[in-house]
Amino acid sequence: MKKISWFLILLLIPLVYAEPTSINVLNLEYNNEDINILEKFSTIGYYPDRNIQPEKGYLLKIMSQENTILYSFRFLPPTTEYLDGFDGTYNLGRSEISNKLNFSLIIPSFENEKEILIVKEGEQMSYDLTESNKGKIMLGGLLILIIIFFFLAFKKKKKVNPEEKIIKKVKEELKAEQK
Amino acid sequence: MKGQINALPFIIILSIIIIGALALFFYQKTSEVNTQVIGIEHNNFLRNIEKKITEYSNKNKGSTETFSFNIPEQINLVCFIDREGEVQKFSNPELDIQTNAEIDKNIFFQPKEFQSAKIENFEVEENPLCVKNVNSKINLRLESLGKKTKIRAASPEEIKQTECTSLIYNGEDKEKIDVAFIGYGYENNKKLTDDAMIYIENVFETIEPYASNQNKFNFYQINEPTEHCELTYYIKCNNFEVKKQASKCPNDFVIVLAERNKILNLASPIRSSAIGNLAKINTADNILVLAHEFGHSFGDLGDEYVDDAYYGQFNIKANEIPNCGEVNCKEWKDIEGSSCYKGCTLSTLYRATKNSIMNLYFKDGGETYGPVNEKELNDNLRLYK
Repeated sequence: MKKISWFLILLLIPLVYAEPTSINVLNLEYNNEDINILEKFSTIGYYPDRNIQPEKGYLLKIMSQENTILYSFRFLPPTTEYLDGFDGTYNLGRSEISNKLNFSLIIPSFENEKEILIVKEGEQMSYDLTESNKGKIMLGGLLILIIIFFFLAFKKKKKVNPEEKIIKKVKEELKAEQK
Repeated sequence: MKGQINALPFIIILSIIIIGALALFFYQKTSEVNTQVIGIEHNNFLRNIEKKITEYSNKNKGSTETFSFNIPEQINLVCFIDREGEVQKFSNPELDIQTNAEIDKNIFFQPKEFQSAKIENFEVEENPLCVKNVNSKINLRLESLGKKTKIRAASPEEIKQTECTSLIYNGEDKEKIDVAFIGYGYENNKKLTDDAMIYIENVFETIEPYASNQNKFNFYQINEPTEHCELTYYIKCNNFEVKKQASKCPNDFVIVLAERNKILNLASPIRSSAIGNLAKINTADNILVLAHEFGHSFGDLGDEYVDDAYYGQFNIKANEIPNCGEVNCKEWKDIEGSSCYKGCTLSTLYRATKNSIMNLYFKDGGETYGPVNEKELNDNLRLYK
């Protein structure tokens, strides 16, 4: 299913090797060729060296704040699960090929990382934001909501009932007449 | 009146800002005081332990006593390292980073925000010795060795179990194939170690092409068994949770060993399996099942037995499976010892040997991979030193 391409491997050799370091364990969902990051667990540990990579597949890139590639590798979602066994008489071997599954990748984490991109080669780029950016967006959204809330409250107060407006006008006229 | 209506929202906003600023100010002040208190407790601990170690180093050899040392409740772990002794690598990834970064220190704390320190004249029973915080205290047993003091945890339960154990180490992780074993259903780590060693000896040190490349492998054991698998008709694991645990050891390939009774397995067989770089092995199965599953994981080899009923649903081509070929087997005609037999995953595809590990590993002829599979595995082995 996959052949090693020496040239591509040289291009994609990870920049940082497997020493204990900050890592992210990604919980990924593969659904009919689309890949989404469901969850990210950050810890200290090890990630695979990925010396073996397929010739074609998906590219995972970790981008810096300056939009440079901090780390990248090529992978294929594990769509086949091979099941094997023997009951003493019969071979129980079989497989399960699926277009929808969850799988996991362990990748390094960098202080200046901005986002994790997952690209299907030859197709439009799809990407997922890192948690920190998600947090910033949520905070921004919250601030906008607060501003809208106060704006609406202010508008509501400013809006005067037409009846009240007439009464006010009459009162002012009466006051003027009395004077 | 008009002016009052317009000003109200701004008064509210201003009030919120003032209240928020005041809350932030008081929070910061409280945090500063807390940090100072924690710092004092941390320094006191270092002073006390140094004093006790010096005192015990000057006592009669063999004098022993247990002491409780107060530590800030925020400290989870205190680790002692004897820099002159052999320090166990991979025991705790976070500690590995700390000890490599501060080579002049020998007492470390987790979380790492607590400053590490250096104290003279001690030895440890386990190196590193990491002791857990129990109710803001660590309990240590000190023994005089004459000019030094030996430190032990007061009870084995208070020792933080190492997260990863190196079973066979042949060199730097970046240059080797790192295989991490993790147990499921094991009562103790000793049994897991024994089983892992049996697989290493009978598969990686016996079967070609691994045997002649055994110095390209490192083997590790994750010391915390996984609880994220279940036995259905196969060993079904939560890939994400298992990988989280496996990340504590170098892990190019992860092997879950599910301990299972052979008699029980005969009555209700559970399949071993492989998905991506994760293999799950039923220990009651034939030992060669690990070689078969690792062939899937490491070599991306396909099954050489035929399952038309299942694989027939998919448009599988010979060039997608390295060990299956077209009629005439031209793909491996130059490989010595190879032949051409009908049936490889699908009955329309061909295989190179009558039987092999990737076929019926439990029958005669299933003890070796055969020349084509070995070539594929060797292509990957060559990527390592």
